[in-house]
Amino acid sequence: MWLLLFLFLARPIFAQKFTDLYTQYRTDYLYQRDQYQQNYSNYLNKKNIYLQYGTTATEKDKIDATKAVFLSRNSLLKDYLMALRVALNQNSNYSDNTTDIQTKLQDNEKWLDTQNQLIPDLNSSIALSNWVQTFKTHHVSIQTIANTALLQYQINLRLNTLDNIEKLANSAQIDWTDTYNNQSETIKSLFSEAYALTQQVQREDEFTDFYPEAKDYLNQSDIKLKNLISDLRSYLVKKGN
Amino acid sequence: MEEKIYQNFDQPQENPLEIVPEKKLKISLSPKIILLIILGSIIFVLLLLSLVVTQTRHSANKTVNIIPTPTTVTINSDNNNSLIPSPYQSEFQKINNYTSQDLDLPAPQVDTEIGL
Repeated sequence: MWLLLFLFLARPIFAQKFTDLYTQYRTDYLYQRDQYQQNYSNYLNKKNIYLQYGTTATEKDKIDATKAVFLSRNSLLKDYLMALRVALNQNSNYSDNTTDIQTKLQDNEKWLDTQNQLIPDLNSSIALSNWVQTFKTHHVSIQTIANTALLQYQINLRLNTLDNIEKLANSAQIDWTDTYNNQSETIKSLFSEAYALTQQVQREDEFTDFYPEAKDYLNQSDIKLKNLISDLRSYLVKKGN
Repeated sequence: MEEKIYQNFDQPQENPLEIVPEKKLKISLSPKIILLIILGSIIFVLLLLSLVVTQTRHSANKTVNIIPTPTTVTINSDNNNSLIPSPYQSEFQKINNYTSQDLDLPAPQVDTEIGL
């Protein structure tokens, strides 16, 4: 009796926790975005002053401003990855790729954290330039995993919708196996093609954005999904008459 | 060649130092014409006033008698969904609105050239 009551109560609490966590991470990310923009503006200002006067004092100010903007940029990227990772918890059971993506997101978050511990020790223009090269190389993998996660989230959402369509059709005892199976397979193949784009090998120094092309596949799948939903509506209305 | 004899008439009109002001032309109007002009302007003002009043009344009548414009009947999806048997309505609505659950997370725009 108590166990049943616990199970009954536990499910909504879990759902609420997920939404709260995502909302919190999203808020953190948006705050960090503002911080980055302020620091970036300050960096540009200090850089211009240094270019104008070229003194030791103005160089020191520029280095400090550069370090501050590095720190806030890393925090911004980390908060973005964290928000994506938490968002992927939703509907994660629909794809085996999800856990792998979440692990990679977490690895990148850790890398950014580690870098933020190293940055305060960079005290010369040469040290900063060297670090920029390290960051630029790693930024390619950050962008790759972020866009992959974004795409996977959308695929999972649509797979969940497909599942809900099937469940509703079954509960309404609608006989449309052929219609559903054909459409469902087409939609899933579009998801596979979209995901395949995320696996293309990236150049070491430059990110090739696969997301717009992958999004095209998702848009095509949306059209088919809407048709399927429309078919389901017709079947349900017919059932009601 | 015959020589012209210079003659100084010494008339005041031809002396540049003495400029005599021209006589102003005085238009003399008869009292009848003045009366006509006054009456004409009164009639003109009255005509203008009547025109303004007519326009105002006409526009006021227009606002009262609004001609009903034909409206196009749009089929709302909610109304359409009301034809679905009630046990399945909420679940169908959830499926139909799946795109509302897409992530609202703007991608970060960062400058990777900082520090170079």
